[in-house]
Amino acid sequence: MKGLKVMLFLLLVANLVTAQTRQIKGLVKDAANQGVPSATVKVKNGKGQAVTDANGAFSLSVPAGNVVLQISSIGFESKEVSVAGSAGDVSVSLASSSASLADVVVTALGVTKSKRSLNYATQTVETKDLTKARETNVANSLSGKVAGLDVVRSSRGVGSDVRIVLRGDRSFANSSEALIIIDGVPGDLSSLNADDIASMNVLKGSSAAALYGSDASNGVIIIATKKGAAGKGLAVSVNSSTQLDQAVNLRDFQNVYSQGSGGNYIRNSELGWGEKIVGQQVDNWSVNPADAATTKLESHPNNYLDFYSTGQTYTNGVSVTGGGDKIQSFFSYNNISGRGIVDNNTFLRHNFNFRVGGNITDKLSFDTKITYFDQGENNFVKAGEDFSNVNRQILRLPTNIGVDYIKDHYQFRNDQGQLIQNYWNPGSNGGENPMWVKYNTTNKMNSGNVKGLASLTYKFLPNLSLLVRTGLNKYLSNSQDRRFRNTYVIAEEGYYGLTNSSYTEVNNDFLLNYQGNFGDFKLNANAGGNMKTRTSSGLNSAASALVNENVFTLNNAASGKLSSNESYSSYQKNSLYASGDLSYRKYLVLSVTGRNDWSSALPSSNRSYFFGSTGLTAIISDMVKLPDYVSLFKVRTSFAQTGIDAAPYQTKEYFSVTPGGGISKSQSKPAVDLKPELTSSGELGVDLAFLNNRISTDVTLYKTNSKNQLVNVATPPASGYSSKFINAGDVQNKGIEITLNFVPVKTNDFSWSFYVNYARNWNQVISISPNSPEFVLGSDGFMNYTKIVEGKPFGEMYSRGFVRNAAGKVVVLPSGLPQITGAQNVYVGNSRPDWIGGLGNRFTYKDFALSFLVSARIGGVVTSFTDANVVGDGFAAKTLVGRSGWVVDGVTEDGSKNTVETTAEAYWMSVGGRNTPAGEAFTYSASNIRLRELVLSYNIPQKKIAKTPFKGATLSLTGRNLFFLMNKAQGFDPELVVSTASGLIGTESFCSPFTRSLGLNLNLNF
Amino acid sequence: MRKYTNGYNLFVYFCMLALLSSCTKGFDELNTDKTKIETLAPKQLDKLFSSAEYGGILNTDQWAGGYQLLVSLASDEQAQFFSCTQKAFPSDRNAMVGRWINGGWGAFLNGASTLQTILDQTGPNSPSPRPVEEAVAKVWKSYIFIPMTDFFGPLPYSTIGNGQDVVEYDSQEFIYTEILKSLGEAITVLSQNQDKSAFATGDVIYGGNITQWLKFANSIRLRAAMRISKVNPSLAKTEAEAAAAGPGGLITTNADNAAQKPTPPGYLNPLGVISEWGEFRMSASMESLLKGYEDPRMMAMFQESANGGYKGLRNGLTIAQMSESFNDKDNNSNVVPRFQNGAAVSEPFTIYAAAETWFNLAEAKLNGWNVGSASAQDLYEGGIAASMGQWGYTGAPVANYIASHNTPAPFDGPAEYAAPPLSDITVSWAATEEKQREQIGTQKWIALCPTMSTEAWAEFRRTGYPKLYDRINNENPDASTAAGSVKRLIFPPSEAVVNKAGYDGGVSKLGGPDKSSTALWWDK
Repeated sequence: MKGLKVMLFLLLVANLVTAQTRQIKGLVKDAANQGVPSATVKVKNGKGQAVTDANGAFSLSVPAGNVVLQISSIGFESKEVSVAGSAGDVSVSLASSSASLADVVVTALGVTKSKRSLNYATQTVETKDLTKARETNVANSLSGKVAGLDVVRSSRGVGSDVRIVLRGDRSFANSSEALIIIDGVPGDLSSLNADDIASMNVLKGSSAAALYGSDASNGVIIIATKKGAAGKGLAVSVNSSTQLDQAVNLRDFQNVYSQGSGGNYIRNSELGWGEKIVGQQVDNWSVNPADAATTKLESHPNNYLDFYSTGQTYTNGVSVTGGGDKIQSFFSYNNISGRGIVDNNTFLRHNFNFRVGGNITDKLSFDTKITYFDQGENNFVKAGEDFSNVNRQILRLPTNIGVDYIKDHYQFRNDQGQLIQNYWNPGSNGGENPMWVKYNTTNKMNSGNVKGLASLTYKFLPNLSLLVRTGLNKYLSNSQDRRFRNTYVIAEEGYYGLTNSSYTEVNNDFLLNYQGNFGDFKLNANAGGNMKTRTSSGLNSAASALVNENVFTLNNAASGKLSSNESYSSYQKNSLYASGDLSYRKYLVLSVTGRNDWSSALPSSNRSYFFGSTGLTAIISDMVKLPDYVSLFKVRTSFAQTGIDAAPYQTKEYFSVTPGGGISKSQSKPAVDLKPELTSSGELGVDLAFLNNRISTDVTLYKTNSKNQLVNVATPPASGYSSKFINAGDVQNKGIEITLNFVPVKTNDFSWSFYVNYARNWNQVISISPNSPEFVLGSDGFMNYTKIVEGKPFGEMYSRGFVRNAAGKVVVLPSGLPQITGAQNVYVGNSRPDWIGGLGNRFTYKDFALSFLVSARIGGVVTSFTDANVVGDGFAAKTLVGRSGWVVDGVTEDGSKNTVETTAEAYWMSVGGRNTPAGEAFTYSASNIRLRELVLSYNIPQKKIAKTPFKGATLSLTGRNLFFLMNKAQGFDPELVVSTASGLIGTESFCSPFTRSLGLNLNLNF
Repeated sequence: MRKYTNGYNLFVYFCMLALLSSCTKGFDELNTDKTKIETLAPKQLDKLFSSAEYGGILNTDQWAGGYQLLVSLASDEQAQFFSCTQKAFPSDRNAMVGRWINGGWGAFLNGASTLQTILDQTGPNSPSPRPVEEAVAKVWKSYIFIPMTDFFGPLPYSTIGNGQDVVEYDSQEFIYTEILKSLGEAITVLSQNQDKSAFATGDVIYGGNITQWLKFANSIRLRAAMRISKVNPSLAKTEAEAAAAGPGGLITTNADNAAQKPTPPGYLNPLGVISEWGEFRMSASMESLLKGYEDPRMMAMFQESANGGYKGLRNGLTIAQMSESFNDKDNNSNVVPRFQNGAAVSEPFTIYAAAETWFNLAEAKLNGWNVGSASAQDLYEGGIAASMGQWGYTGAPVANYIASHNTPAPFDGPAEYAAPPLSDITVSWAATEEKQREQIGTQKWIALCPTMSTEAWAEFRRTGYPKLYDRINNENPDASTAAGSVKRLIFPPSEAVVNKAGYDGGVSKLGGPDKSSTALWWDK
């Protein structure tokens, strides 16, 4: 056998064989004296190379005389050993290395694989900075760090929703978001303590995910959390950080004209088309009889920022790890408290994590974990056209009304002792005093999440083991909405809403693992099964009028004003799967996976569905001798298919019970023959590394097609249904992802490294369904539709726009105003970016490290409903032009040039405003480049703390979202959207201001 | 060797477990939503009829959204019962807001297709036919399709609920003909089953009283006949005479008025929604007539403005004009407080009142049709008395009103809004037929206020009565400020997308472009 190996080796390197060689045999071992398989042994400055076998043994042909061998392996520090010309067998011991962990990737089913052997694109997220430049939701920290990973946030203050999409949107109805797997069990990033993360790997393609089934077709982010380590004694780590969030005004307001219309000050006007502010005395807007009857007109240019204050987030955590040979444990507690830029938006979170694992016998080991997460949040900031969205009210505050004044004048008691809102236009449909909204329309949300995990692994043989695991994820939340009496329109008589929801997911798994060596072949095979059950229930009750003023309990509901809505759903999926990696001499790896799911959400005829993947990896640099400066040359390819089921309860027609016991017919036609959605994907990649991995690059090309999608298409309402579910469609994503890592300088004291990510995705909706060439994905309700249109990329946006003649000129009405299309049928752009990228740099000098990340999201458009309003209402600076007269550049119906003069007021009120704005005028490129993250850290040198109990200390100064290098959207952050729903990605609507964050972080280890 | 055997046993055990885990026996049960109903029991069908009754008048959600979109923001404004005071709403300036029309259309078809389910489940092809219920459902279908075809013209009528991707439209002529035919059939069935009941408490209009449904059916037959009296006089005459002589009689007393009881929080009195939000006020045309005639119904229907007095405002104001003090909602009259709470169960929403029957008979009499022995004048005066009675006025005030020589008043206000009265007709019966027709139209318009603007707008388009003020502004390229320049609502823009073939057929059956200026079949 050895002879064959040598022969093959000789064959491959035949051209390199020199006259004088000798054979060295040796053994590579780890600290525990166990053989290290797959280690690479090279001759320094020479041409020989070998890979160790399963026992760590190698044999290598080297030139005669003294040689230096370079030994490297995944997870270990590389080592050089001098071997004298006379020496016999060599034994090398390698130290394990955390720094090289990146070479090992936790893949599907928690199987650790060498990154070299993978046949699909993965990227490891450097976890170091996640705990420094902190985000309450770890997901936000991923922007710009992974090629092809797109992150957008909703605008709700601390604890906002975050949407992560890999390689573009692909599903009409289902989520296109990546699956998060924590320690082998589905979880979420929002409740994860950054300090607990040991490693984070992003598996981008669906081949990576074929084993996780339905939920993983959009890629997977696999997180391993920390566990105790054997034999290291007790280690304690304390982390404390403070972060300040500052609102930044990107908008330009006008501060010249008062509230009013037609150049006149009108005390109850909600518009900014009033008279020039010159300090004149006018009627006071206040409707409180106790207030002064007149007031001096003054502008308040800082109103917007005066309203917001500096947000503060304090994170404090401790973790303890330790263990003996039998039992190892890890415990952490993390506390985040803070308040947002609206200072009654407060937040308190506790995370507990306790993990114990160890060996019961030589063959039986266990791993258990319980995490508890408790979060209380007050007054999250709403977004969009919600009358209780405080952003909306402050953006619509006329400049002559100062924030300081309304602070003390937003309410009063009338002669009956009732609390009355003080607003310039009492009873307004849409307008409320911003301070009234802030203090008298409040909300509260408490949630708790417990995750438990218990697993047992039994090693029948050294190379055959079985894992059984149960994971439970239970989430409970309670939220309350309180609106005081006299909140116009939405709570004239007060409002109290109460929502309770719960979600439970249980995963029972077994997984059999076998590893075998057959000469040059090595087989790593897994077979397993999963049974997943999900139940969710919700109860939503609302009292839309309260009898006793401002007493918030459901019992206080006025007669006929209490409604309840209850939901319940249950779901189960059973799966069996198997995977095998067959490798030949570690440089050729063939992987095959297969999985069969049985889903309760599908009708019995289509309930069972099979899918799988196959892939091939060739490490060329191990197969043939390449120049020395090539450290790795790998080619990989894979094909995969993933099946996706649907949400429960879509296969039967039901009649619903309405509040009060009424019965209503379903408006959605059920999908009696519902089939699983199928995503096929293929990818081809090259990984290259040079100069001892100082330079490395991965390039991946991919193509995915998502077919058989469950589409809820609109049907003529006259048919009896306004929509129906069908299986149809084909969404194609093609793209390229490039990552580049480079270490230009590396000396003992100074190093500089940088990385670049680039991902371009071309999306096309190839077909939808025979009768529906398009359908609406989402709408802000007033201005836009985001649609899926056959032949176009996902997420096309339409709005009202200018009516144009054949020459493209704006057609003007006899009034001199532009003619606006009646329907939202003017294409304004696509809501998805063309490409996203990141550029990270890291400098270290002695004990200092400086890293920064610039991220770019280029292409796509974003529409601003906020602009439509603040411009239409005369509050934006651009409404200063043409107030006294303006001739619109356009033509009349007969084609002659328009000469009829109008005013900015008439123009913007017809183009903008709330109800029928022409979104075409309020659409911007969403392209932006920003300094996403900056971390300056200082490791306090050991000698300075030698006399203290500390073993290590790091102090970091961090910044996030510091500034834009380029931002085409005028006045707002295009990545901060009204909601993370796929139909609202390009829709800005009364979102919170852009915030920049600065933080200070101290980490101590005992 | 022993450990291998152990391992093997365990392996087999887990393979068994795997097979077990693929067991899917309980999946059908698991995938059934137990908060909902799969098959309706008879009592549940009764409740479904409530939904069809509410939905038929666009009252489909918690805020009666469909009603707001097509009635409060379209026919209320076009019939000039009310003027819009909500600055964000352009429909009072004749703008066709596609999004609203889509919403109202969807709400109606929700109700209409629910009704179709009931027709299917009670009809002759159902496993358990219920002919009396089917007849009531047919009458209801006739009632609800009249305002909708009067909004748009052609509509899916015979094709409702076909479950297909294309739903063909029927012409308005076909719809009216079918409605009249269907009413005739239903009247026959109902007249033979007057001792029975249908849908019990599920019927939120008559509580299942067949005698009253029969009167309602005859009255709707008369309404439909009057509408087509210009375009098809012979059919109109036949049908009107049949209705007048119909078994069970017409609705001539307020005790038989049709009204829907709200069941909050699901179904409100839809008039209570917009009035609670304060988004409309009495129109200038309404003020001119009620003030000029010293009509006591003004106090019954409208409240004094917050700053005193009964005031109306002109239709079609711009946002800036709405900001003016004269047009401020605090200076103008909302409906009376009793209508300002949609959840008030004590306030049923009137969908047909006896006065209309009298006015229709009066007009039929002027047409020379055989609708009984009473004279046109008697019928006209009977209509006024019935309407007065509806608001609680009887005796001398009513007699004085009927005898009154008052004429409409000028509309006072700043120069740009002020206007002289548009007519000199009195309440007291005029001498010429032309004036008599105007009187009938004018009094019927007042009697239809405040909840039946759909009928009032249709009759205004057909007869030109009452004379209504021009709008102050027009934002619709296919219309003008002239009252009556909007002849119909455009088809919902969504139809051109989701039901293209149906929509195209509808446009060709319309006999003109899909614009608000294209007159309907009966309006030619």
